[in-house]
Amino acid sequence: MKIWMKEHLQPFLKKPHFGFIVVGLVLITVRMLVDVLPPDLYGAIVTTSYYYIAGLGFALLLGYGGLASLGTGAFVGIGAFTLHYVYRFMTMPLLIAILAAIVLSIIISIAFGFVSLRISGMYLAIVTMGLSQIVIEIIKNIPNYASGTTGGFLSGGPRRPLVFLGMELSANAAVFFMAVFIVLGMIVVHNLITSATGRALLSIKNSETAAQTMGINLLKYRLLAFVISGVYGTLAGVLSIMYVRNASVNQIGLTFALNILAAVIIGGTKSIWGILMGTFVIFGLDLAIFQRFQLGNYSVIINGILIILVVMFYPGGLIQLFGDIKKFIKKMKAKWRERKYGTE
Amino acid sequence: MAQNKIISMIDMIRHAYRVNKHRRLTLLINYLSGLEVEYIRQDETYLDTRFKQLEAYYQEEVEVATKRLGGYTKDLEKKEKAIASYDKKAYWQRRAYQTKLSRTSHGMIPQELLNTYDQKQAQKRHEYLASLDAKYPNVLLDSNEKALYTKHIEERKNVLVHRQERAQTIYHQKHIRWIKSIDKNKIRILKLTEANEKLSTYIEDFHNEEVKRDERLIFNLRAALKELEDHSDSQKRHHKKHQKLKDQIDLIETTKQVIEQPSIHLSVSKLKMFFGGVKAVNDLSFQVKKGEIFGLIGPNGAGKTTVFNCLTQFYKATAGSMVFRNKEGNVVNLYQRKTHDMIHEGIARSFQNVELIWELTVLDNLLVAAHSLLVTNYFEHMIHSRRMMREEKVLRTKGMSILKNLGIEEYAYRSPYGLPYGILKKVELARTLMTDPSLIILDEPAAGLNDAETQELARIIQKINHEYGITIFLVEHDMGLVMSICDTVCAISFGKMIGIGTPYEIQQNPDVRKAYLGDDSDE
Repeated sequence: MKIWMKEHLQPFLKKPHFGFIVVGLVLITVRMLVDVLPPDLYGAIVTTSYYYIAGLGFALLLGYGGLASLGTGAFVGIGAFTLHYVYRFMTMPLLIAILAAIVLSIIISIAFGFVSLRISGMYLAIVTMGLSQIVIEIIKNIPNYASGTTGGFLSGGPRRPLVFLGMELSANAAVFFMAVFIVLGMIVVHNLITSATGRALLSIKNSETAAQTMGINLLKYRLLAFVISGVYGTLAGVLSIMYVRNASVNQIGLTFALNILAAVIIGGTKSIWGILMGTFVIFGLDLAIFQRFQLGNYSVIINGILIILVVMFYPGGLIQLFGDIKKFIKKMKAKWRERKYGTE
Repeated sequence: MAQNKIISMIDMIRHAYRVNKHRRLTLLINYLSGLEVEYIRQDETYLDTRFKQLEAYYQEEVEVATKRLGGYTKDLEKKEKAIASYDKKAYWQRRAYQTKLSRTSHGMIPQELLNTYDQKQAQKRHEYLASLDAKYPNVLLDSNEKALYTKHIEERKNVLVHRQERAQTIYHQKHIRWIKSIDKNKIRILKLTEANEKLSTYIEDFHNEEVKRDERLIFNLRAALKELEDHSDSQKRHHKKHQKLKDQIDLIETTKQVIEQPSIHLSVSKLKMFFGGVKAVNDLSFQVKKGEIFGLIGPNGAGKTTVFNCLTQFYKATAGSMVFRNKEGNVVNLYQRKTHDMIHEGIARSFQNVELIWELTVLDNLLVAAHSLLVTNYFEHMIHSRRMMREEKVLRTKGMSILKNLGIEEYAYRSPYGLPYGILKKVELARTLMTDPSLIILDEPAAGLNDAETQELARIIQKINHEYGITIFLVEHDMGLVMSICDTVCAISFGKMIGIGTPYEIQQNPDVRKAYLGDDSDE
């Protein structure tokens, strides 16, 4: 038993994957404590967790591929509306609806990737913004979504409650799905960025010419980055509609894409844990903290100031903060010791 | 005609697929044979390492018991701990007292006060030791305890034996599995080699066929050219067509020449690169022999880097042929390849201004370069399969050995950010070596280095040339470096060749002198 612990359990606990699983467990615990927790905090945590998935995908694109895309909203929209359409109007099982959303997002993200091959930087941002606008317009032109909202699964027309494997899902049951997808998503991103693919993406970001001479096919890796980020965005959309029970195109426009961009930059573009913090700051802080202190009216202003402060003083993201705090404590300790005991 | 074109296109695609597959299979065979060695190594060392581990666990478990039996009782241990903590406390107190004294007396420490303090403290310590003696009388172990400890040791020993037996049974199971997988591997390698040989014969056939076709083609082309030349008025009208015919004939002739002379590694013929009206490279022809160091020199703006960029297909040349003998010994036309395929053919290049990835460590930079050697794909990277982990390990070892060979292994785990320029240049060299090239193109390796660093670099370039048998093709401004290490030097000026030969010949060449020092009549 002791040997087993030493040889198998302890190395596993030291692995970063353990931390990811803990996140999933924490989410499940939060779901269990839904009656105890204040509803604002609960809502903030759940919102953060589904937008975090979109943030993770976007971080792979921005932090590793160096591709600043503003098309994240389109994929969240594809996820939400495709799930709704396939599940409710085509009456397919839930899993098939999710798969359909993922397949559709893969096709569209490949289109995004082809566009990105020739352009980069600001121009890429503008083009992807236009593409996402096209996607939103297409959604609006589906007759069922003429108003730009889904209206949920139960209102009007053919009603169909969300059923998974014969069980009817409540809104809170979506949290279990979130836990599973977050753990999987974190593990996949971590694996990718610590392997040859992550290095290839980084080398493309640093110098395209050098990457090409080393045999890295630009098209292939850009497409890969776009597809992964698209699938992650779609999953975020799927989970959001499973929890919120309706979706609106107003939520997935340019503002959302900019919010995700801000979340990733605040958290630290290359850090999995940093993005979690950044997403909470952007999407959860308002609900969890500002509303409680009757600061809801100023939340946008406070968020803006926070973004400015972080970008000015922590260009590496909030994840840098922890290292700095550690350093500060060490420094203060040394200072205090010198004051009391003097130098040797 | 159209049908023929379609058939030849299909042939080309099939050929490209076969070449790719051939390379992939070669990599796979290498991987599998490496795996076999790994299995054998594991098989030999498993039991040893496991026994050592179990022994370590045993020692850890019986550590306390042996200590107690050896006379080191619990009380003694407590006493020693108490004394150590007392001493530590006393040290800090003394330091604080000293600081207080120096502060009150403006920097000067009155020795007498300190001495009296020390005496007092010594007295106190003595008293404390006496009290400790009273508290922990150093009793010996009684027989009861002794029996307990010996029993504990005995028990642990039994457990150790049990564990060793279990390890042996596990080893036997593993041994059988290893032997099985080694056999399986061998069969797989055989199969793959067979398939690979088949593929290589296909590839050879394709090349032979191409040669035959070219022979037929060149006959027709020559006839067409002659017809064009006979009508001098139409020659002007069909200037483009004329040029095209000439280019095709030239390409076929160069290919033939390279095939006939195995010593030629790279042959460039009548290379032209025009940027609009600017003729950066015009009618440049030279041949690089296998295993030599070839230098390309010329004044600023002569078009040296353009030649490199044409060779590595960053620029598509306006006209001219570049024929290269690749890793597998087949003769290929570089013009048809893409930039990211050059490394598969065996051409690695470095850059004028170091283009490393600053966010990764030096070793990881080398691993990026090994991208063309990967047998795993991105899906395996996603799930961190076992194969990927093994491959990563192998590549890391390879990278470390290259770094060691170049004498920079101490920087392996550092970020290249802030390293001296000479080291960065060496890292770039190591990066090109990592890709198993047959030709390395160096773009001004000595730019920005001081004399000592340049000499070191020259030594390393020669070492790479000798040890790995790699052909080196370099552009350089530093005449000392070029003249000392190159076997052949080619001098160009304004895109045109003005001299080629051994370094001595180039030094004596009047045209080269003119290009570098200006015309005599200018002075």
